[in-house]
Amino acid sequence: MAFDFIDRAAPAAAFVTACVLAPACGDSPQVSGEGPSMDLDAPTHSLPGGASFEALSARGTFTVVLEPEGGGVPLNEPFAMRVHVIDTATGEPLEGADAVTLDARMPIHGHGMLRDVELVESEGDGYRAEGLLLHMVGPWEFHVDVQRGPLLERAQVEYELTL
Amino acid sequence: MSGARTILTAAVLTGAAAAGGCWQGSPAADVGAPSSLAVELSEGMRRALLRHSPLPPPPPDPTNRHADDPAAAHLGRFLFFDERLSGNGRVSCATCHDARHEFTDGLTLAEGVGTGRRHTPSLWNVAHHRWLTWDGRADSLWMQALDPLEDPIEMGGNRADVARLVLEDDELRGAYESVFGALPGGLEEAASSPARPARRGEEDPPASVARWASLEPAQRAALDEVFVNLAKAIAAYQRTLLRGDAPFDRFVESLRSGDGDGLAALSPDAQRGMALFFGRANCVLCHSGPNFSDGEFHNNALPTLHGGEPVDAGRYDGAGVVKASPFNAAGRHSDAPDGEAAAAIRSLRRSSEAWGEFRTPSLRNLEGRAPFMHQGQLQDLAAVLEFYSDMAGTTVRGHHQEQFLQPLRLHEREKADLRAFLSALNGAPAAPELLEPPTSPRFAPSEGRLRPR
Ligand code: HEC
Ligand code: HEC
Repeated sequence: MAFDFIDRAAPAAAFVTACVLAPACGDSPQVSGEGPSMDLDAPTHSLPGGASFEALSARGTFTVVLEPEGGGVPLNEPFAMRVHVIDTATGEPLEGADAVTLDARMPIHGHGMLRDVELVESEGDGYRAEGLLLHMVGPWEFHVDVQRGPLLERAQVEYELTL
Repeated sequence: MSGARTILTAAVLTGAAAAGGCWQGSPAADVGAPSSLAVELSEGMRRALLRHSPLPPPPPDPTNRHADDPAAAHLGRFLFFDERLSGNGRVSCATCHDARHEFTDGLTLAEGVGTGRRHTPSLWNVAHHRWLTWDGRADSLWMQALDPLEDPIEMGGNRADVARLVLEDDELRGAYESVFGALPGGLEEAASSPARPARRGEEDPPASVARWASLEPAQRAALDEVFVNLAKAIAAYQRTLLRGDAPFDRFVESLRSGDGDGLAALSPDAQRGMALFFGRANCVLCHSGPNFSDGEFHNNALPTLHGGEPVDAGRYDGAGVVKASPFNAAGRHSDAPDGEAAAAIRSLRRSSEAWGEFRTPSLRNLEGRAPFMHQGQLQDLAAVLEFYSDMAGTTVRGHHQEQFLQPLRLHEREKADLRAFLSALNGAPAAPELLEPPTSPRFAPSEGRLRPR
């Protein structure tokens, strides 16, 4: 086994800071935690001007910042996202990652995104994730896993997709 | 007065639903105005409704250069009804997708050359789906059309016989060549007797399979080319099978424009059903978007037709098939092998959680389409709502499978309201010429574009 641990357990959520950086938006994405019903009047995240979301990794080594292109995450349509992985110690892009992967899941439903997303590194500007598609409204989690040598560490960004 | 009574009933239901914390519509406080609103629409509800109507034109299909070519659609309409494409000369696409029967057959399981293992879906608005069939084993209409032609249980034909038919029927050949150009060289020899590749898991392959194996690559390529082109023509026809313009659309149009006239298109019952659909019953979780389908796959844990545990792997198999097929959007027969659909197929994940999942059907045009579900196991809409209400007889789901559905415990009144809403999704009738074959496969431009309204 290549990794000596995989940090993905529920306690990781305690480390997550999911917040909207865009000044236009005061509402932070949240997980409702209840059943499948949705709140049609929940704040929408399709914000003009663009929003981004960030979360600290499980061991605090890095922070992941996700920026959906086009300003928001559309329901059931392909979209792309910028992914920045910032070294907590230096505040600079994290160096020495062997692999960075992204996935999206609906943990309370045991269901997730049905595509493998490719992260393409762009010089000095983090990564670009293409071909994302979230097909249902409800609580989603973006998982960004960074592999460095034998270690795999995850940052988990929570996102409530609304109609 | 009966109006007041309905409102009262709704108030009681709202109270009950509010406990669930997700009811969106509540009865209008003021019975008099706005005139035809029987439920109060929150901002979120209004926004959601606007996103579900009108039904836009289907997304383009760049993998099929002829997708929106009227001459191809005309030829496709001819082929769709042509029983000569089948092995026994008695089955056409329309045998199961009967145009007089909402493009389905009224049967539980499909009957072609043999009896299938799934129910025949209707083809209305089929071009709106990104994955075709219950398990999504095709990513375009033309890729899908190849399958029934050679399926021994459906049409039992083979691509060599189909090509020979085009070679030998002058009218068909003329129509083909006017759309796709000259038939490929060497076709006569390649099509001289039956040939097709083996099918997955086929135990006792017929002689045509051995003959296919013995053909030169160029001969196979010639047969594939004609086969794919005919399928692209059939696909072009199926892209015209569209029905929107339902009472629900008139209602939403009226909401959008602010003139109250169209609101009456939905009866108070239907409006309460709509509030349930988008609210407490949460049907819109999966039946979302203007075609009332998310186009993706879910495991509803339905009781099986055969009783006992499900044996159909659904999307788990379908994802594997479409990804591996040379006829997918990324393959050499695609007219856009680097397009969006090709990227989607390359990144498609085959995950065990997809076991037993089936694609969410559209809920537009349900009328005349019974029975329902992938095995046709629910006889009518009453049975469907009964299922969502009680979820009686659900089959065990693996621990890694999704768990979206909870029994809704619907009152009889709520079931009636949901049914009223579902009927309000029946679109205006399609142009009658769509429902029958043209007399000739050749397109005369004077016949105009085949587009329902
Ligand atoms: C024997 C009956 C039968 C015949 C003949 C038949 N089909 Fe079907 N069709 C079915 C069944 C059953 C399914 C569902 C298949 C599945 O999910 O495995 C289906 C699925 C489809 C779908 C996918 C619909 C959706 O909602 O995803 C399309 C499109 C379609 N058929 C078109 C055709 C065409 C075109 C032909 C002729 C070339 C044809 N069918 C011949 C029974 C038939
Ligand atoms: C979790 C996703 C999901 C939810 C929520 C859901 N459906 Fe479905 N629905 C499906 C799927 C998937 C199928 C096909 C299932 C199968 O055949 O195995 C289906 C099938 C149906 C059908 C049969 C259509 C046909 O052509 O066979 C009807 C009608 C229907 N649903 C109505 C509803 C209504 C009304 C609600 C709300 C009370 C609802 N659905 C909620 C996913 C869902």
